[in-house]
This record gives sequence, C-alpha cells and structure tokens, in this order.
Amino acid sequence: MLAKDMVAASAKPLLLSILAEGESYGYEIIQRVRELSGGEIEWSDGMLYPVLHRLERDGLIESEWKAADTGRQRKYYSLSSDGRKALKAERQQWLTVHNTLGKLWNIKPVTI
Amino acid sequence: MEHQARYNLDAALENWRAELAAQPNLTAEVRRELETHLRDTLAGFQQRGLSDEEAFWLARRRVGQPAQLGEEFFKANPLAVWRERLFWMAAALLTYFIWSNLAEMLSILVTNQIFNWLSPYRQAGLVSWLMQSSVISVGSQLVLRYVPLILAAIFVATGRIKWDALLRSFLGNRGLVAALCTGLILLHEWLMYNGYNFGRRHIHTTAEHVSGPVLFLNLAYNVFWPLVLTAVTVWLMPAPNRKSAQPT
Repeated sequence: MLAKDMVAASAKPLLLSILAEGESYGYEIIQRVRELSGGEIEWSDGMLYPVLHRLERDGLIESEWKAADTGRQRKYYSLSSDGRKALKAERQQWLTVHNTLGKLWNIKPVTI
Repeated sequence: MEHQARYNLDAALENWRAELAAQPNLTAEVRRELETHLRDTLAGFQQRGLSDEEAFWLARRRVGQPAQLGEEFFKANPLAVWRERLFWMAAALLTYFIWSNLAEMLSILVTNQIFNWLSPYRQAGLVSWLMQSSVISVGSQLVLRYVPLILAAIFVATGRIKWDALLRSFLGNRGLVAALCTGLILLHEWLMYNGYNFGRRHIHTTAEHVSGPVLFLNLAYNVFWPLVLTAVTVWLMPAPNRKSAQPT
C-alpha cells in the first residue's frame, strides 16, 4: 500500500490523467485508480472531492451535472485546456523523478 | 432474512443526509455530490450480493464521517460556505425587494377595487371613516405583502413544498434568473414612472412630478440598486450546469 504522502502528491497528476481519457465522475474515478494501481493506491472516497473542487477552482477541470443512464444526476468532470497544459507539466516532472531514481536503481529511463 | 426485511434503507439514508446537512462547512452542492457517491457505492455493494444493511454500512464508511468531510472541505476551500451564505442573503434581499414591489402594485389594484365597491355607501359613518383613513390601503399592503411570504415559509418548513427541487431547477439557469429579475424590476419602474393608472388612482411617482435629484434617487433606489443586487446574486449563484470542455 502506498504511503499517505505519496498518495497525496500523486493525486493531481492521476486525476488529470484519468480525466484526459474522457469525462468521469467521483465514484468512477476511484474505481479507475483502484483498478490501475491494483489496489495499491487507496483513496478515501470523501477526500477525493476537495481535491476535485480545488482543481476546478484552479481552472484545470470543469464540471457539469448530467443524468446518467440510470436517470440519476451525477456531476461529471472533464479536463480544461489549462488542465491539459498542467498535465503536460506534471508528466514532465514525474518522469524526471522517475528517470533520476531509475538511474540510481538501474531501471531503463522513460522518454517524454 | 427477517432482519434484512426490517432494515429501512430509506430511513438510514435520510439520517445520513441529516448528519451531512448538520455540517456547516458542506454546501448544498457538495452534499448532493456526496449523496450521489454514497448511492453509487451502495449500489456497487448490493450488486456484489451484500444485504442493504451491510451495503449501507460499508458505503457510509467508505465515504467518510460527516464531521471529517466537513473539515476537509473547509481546509480545501474556506470561502465556499461563505459564498453560498452570501448568495442566499443576496437572493433573499432581491426576492423581498421584487416581491414588495409586486405586492405594492397589487395592493393598489385591490384598494381601488374596494373603494369602487364602497363608493355608493360613502355617506354611511363606518364606510366614510374607512375611505378617509388609510386602513384599507395599509391593510391590503400588509396582507398581500406578508401573508404569502408567511404561508410560503410555513409550507417550506413543513415540507409541503419541495422547495429544494423547485429551486434547483430554477437556479440551474443563470440567464433565466437574470432575465426574470431584470424584467420585473424594469417593468415595475416603467409602471411607476409612467404613472400607470390602476383603476382610478395614479401611483405616487409620475413623470410630471418627479425630476432632478428626486428622479435620480428614485432610479437609484428602484432600478440601480436592485439591478446591482441581481448581478451580485447571479454571480454568486452555484453553477450546477457549467459547460464542460470536450475531452480529446
């Protein structure tokens, strides 16, 4: 299980990356993170929303209430153009960290 | 099975909703979003074959304690709650202002009509006193201005009006709110300024009698101030239907 600090630090790039795949809502985002990390990254459900709202306030994502197939209204989030730029920057930074550690641990570097 | 049949999921959800509503740092929109999440989580557990009680217990635990959620949301955005409170204050002021103006016009109509009914009996002592005193006009103003507000408050408080859903659909449209409020404010002023004749008596501010500073003050109070209030209310409005950017 990932340490709390790492979970918090990776929340922004993870959310932006998931929303880059297409619009989504809270429950689906949590399921996706669980599935991608094989259960290693465990987000507390209720804590996801303050992060989503902060990203929305920063103009990186946008939201819209829409009716789902079940008829239930859900708030869908999607990436804004500023969010796309922020994701690019995040990607660069995380890959820099990954490659630096990779050199120390003799892991093949990843190109951007 | 018997225990399962006894478990009241609706009541459990209602209790949870009440707990959430008791958190001052959670806005109505946040509560709505959290409830959607709880219901999604609940449905997920039910599909896995858990009983209603087990599914609700786990879903509630996953979403988090209401008090803890309140703290997290406050840390993330301390101004959000105040923005919502300011919105309701501005909306209440604006509603009262517009309603007062409409009630005033309506009361003039009613007063004129009562005067018309009473005129044939103006020689009678009581009728004469009623027509000379302000009882009818003040009474009709009080009844028309406050009784509907008190009734609406009672209906909302007792749950006879589902105001939440009504307001949500109305407040979901900023353009509609802005257009409706602006229209009513301008209509009222136009009627007042042109001394529109409701029956026999002209309303107090006719174009002939108002000019210069009085006209300016009149416009400032009746038009400028409520239009500013409308703009502030619309700006503070929660925007549940912001247009999403299309993901690529």
